[in-house]
Amino acid sequence: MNALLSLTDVRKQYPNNGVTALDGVCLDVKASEVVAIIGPSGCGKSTLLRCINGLEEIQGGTIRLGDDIVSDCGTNWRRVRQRVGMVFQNYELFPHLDVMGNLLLGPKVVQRADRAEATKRAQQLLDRVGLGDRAHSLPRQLSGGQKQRVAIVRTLMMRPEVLLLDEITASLDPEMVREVLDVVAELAADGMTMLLVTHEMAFARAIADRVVFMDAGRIVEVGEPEQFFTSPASERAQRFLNTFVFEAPHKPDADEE
Amino acid sequence: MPSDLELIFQGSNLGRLLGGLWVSVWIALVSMGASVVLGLPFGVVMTSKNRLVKLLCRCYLEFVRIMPQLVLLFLVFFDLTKVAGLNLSGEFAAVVVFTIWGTAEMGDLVRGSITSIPRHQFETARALGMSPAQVQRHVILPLAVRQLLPQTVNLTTRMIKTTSLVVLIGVVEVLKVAQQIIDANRFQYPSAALWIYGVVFFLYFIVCFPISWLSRRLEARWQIS
Repeated sequence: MNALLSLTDVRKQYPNNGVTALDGVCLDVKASEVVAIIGPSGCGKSTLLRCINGLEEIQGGTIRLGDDIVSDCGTNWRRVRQRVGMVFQNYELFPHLDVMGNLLLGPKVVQRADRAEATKRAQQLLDRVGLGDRAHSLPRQLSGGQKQRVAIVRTLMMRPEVLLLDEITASLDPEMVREVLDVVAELAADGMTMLLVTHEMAFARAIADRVVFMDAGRIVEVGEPEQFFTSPASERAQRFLNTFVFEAPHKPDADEE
Repeated sequence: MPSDLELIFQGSNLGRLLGGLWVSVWIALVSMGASVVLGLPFGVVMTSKNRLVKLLCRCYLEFVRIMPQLVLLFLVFFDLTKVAGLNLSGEFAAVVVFTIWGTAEMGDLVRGSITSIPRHQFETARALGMSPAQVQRHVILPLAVRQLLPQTVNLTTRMIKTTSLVVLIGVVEVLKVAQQIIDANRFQYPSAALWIYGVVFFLYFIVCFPISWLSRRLEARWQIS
């Protein structure tokens, strides 16, 4: 089966400071596949998602979506963005609209969707993420976890083929991480194609079909989650994973036994 | 002596006071209208990244802020008249000065509300597939207006109160009318000043209170974070 999303030798350099964020990234994502991108801060993983969605311009390489090349200068990003949904770290709900308003803005303005139909679908999706009774709450009345669930639904409203999740639990209090990850896990089970950047190693291990390890703008290693997390092939990935292991300080009397 | 209060209802005194109040409100509202019209584009210009443009805007804003409005009034009413040979009426000079001041303040409010909208709001809307114009229309503008409106109302009340200065360039507004009534009846009603100024205070209150109440209501209702 052909890849749904295909990146070939993607290069990105920030024009203002000349920093190379992506240095020849190649990656294929098949339909219904969940790919987790991990790596140290500043390794280019968020930039990669932003390039796929056209929020950053790339300087080289190609991005294909299905049979279409979407990285040309003539790209109709508005159309591409409807096929590639993105959820951000800080939810970014529109503060002046209630939950339903947030969900309907895209379908209404961009897709000129039928209002009644879109409302019905929005309510169904809200029910599914456990927020059926919050349709008329304002964003400021919601908790971080609830906001992020609404943000996911807002993106789903556009019926994207691929979902890009950019550290969507990074700003949440620990007790709210679970409710958001449950939604993502359910989407994965439904066969949604996802490319997610995360620092939740246990989550990546549990949900991803493949794990991509990036460092310094390059893909260092790609592997099955079990294999990657237990015995990463590269030394850099090994070192990175070790930073997540917390070892108790050495206690002398425990040593004596 | 409470009987001095009756002076207000003698002859056309109350009508004259209300007429004076109308002059104050009229000057404030016309100036405010002009300030909004000019301040909106000025505020957008103030967000420019060009350093020269920024500097010029900053100079204008600071100049108007530092200069007491009274000095500006004198400059326009007396000096401009002399230098340029114009014969401005007091009312017109007042409108000009308050518009110069209001445009600067309004511009700064517009600049503030535009720059306070997080960049991510823009990106999120773009990521949903909206065009730049749609983002402006459905996200940036509603947010900016929500922030701007209470502050604009607030500026309006400040302007109404500041119009009392125009008495010093010979405009007969509510305060001047009050003085005239008091002076004309000094011997007959010795404590009239207290009552008449009390009424003037009350008139200002009646005009400004609903406006500032509205502004507080809007602020509470549109609070976004």
